[in-house]
Amino acid sequence: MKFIGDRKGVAEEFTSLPALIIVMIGFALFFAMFANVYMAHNEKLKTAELAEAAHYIALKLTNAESPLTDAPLLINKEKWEYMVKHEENIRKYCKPSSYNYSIKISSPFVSDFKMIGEKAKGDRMSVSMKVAIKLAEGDVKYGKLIVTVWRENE
Amino acid sequence: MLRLNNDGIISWLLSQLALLLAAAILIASIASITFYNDWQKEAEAKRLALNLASEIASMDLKTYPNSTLYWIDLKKASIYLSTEYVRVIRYDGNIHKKLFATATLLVKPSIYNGSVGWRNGDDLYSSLCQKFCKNGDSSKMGDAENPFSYDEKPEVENYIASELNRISKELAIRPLRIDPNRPLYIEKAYIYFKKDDGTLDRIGVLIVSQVKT
Repeated sequence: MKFIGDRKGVAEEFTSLPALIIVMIGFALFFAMFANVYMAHNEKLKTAELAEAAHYIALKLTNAESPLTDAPLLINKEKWEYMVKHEENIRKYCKPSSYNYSIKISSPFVSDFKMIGEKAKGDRMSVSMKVAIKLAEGDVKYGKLIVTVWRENE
Repeated sequence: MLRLNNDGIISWLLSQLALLLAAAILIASIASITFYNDWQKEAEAKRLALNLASEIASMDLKTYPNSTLYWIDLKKASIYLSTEYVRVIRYDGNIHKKLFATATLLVKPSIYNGSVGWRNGDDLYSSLCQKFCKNGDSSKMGDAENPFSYDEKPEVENYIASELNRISKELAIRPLRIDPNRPLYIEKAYIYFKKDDGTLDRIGVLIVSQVKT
């Protein structure tokens, strides 16, 4: 056990090693927080753009010139049934570039409205608008038009 | 530091210098991230691009003939507009020289760049008359006072679609450079068709151009 009492040539650099560890952990946490905030901000921007596209499509499909409606916010069931088979009319009327969308009607009074468009792929955003649905002459019920938008590269 | 003789001094010195250097690099990187980053300038450019894109989209949603002037508040940026994108480029970045921001346009407008497109609604109506007017008694065709007849609708629609196609291709090659000191003129113009029972049908055209002075 002689080396314990031997006091020659002891040079220790890292007496502050525990403090150094705590400081490095602090730095690492700080950088992680910065990176997180930056990436969260970018994600929010992308979501906001998707939401704006969904809102635009919902408004465009429910105004008076849309091939689905007889009047603003009044969807005609016969026109809807026709559009289920002839989707290209809707795509011709409203096609935001680099986005694809699908629409469906949800209402407690009608259950046989088919969805126009295909199933969503990847990140999606849905927007719903309350609309009136004309089932027949004089028979108008209310329901919701749900527009689902996702990004698609053409 | 536990030093009882001078045998370990050089290694201690070197390790202290290395520690000092590492600390200086860390603190310099943190300072550059917090004080010298370009995030604010990038955010301003992105805001301008998104604002312009939604201004054009909201004009397209209007269901009556409407026009607006859009003033640009970022004077030192270059703004390029094509029918699919609007691109804002700033040249005063700290870390990077150029800062880019892009926004997708939700609808394809007709953009006037001197050789293609229409400057405003009246320009559209005169060019429709140049193409379709038979007797040449009025110089405008398609507005509410001189509607087309309903059976000319497919022909007019095809003409508008092919013009928009041409504008898209031309502006994809050479996007319009927007001068930030002059406002942007955005208009929704309608082309009217008269049906046999007297009612009017219409199609909408979105026109974007830069004001002359």
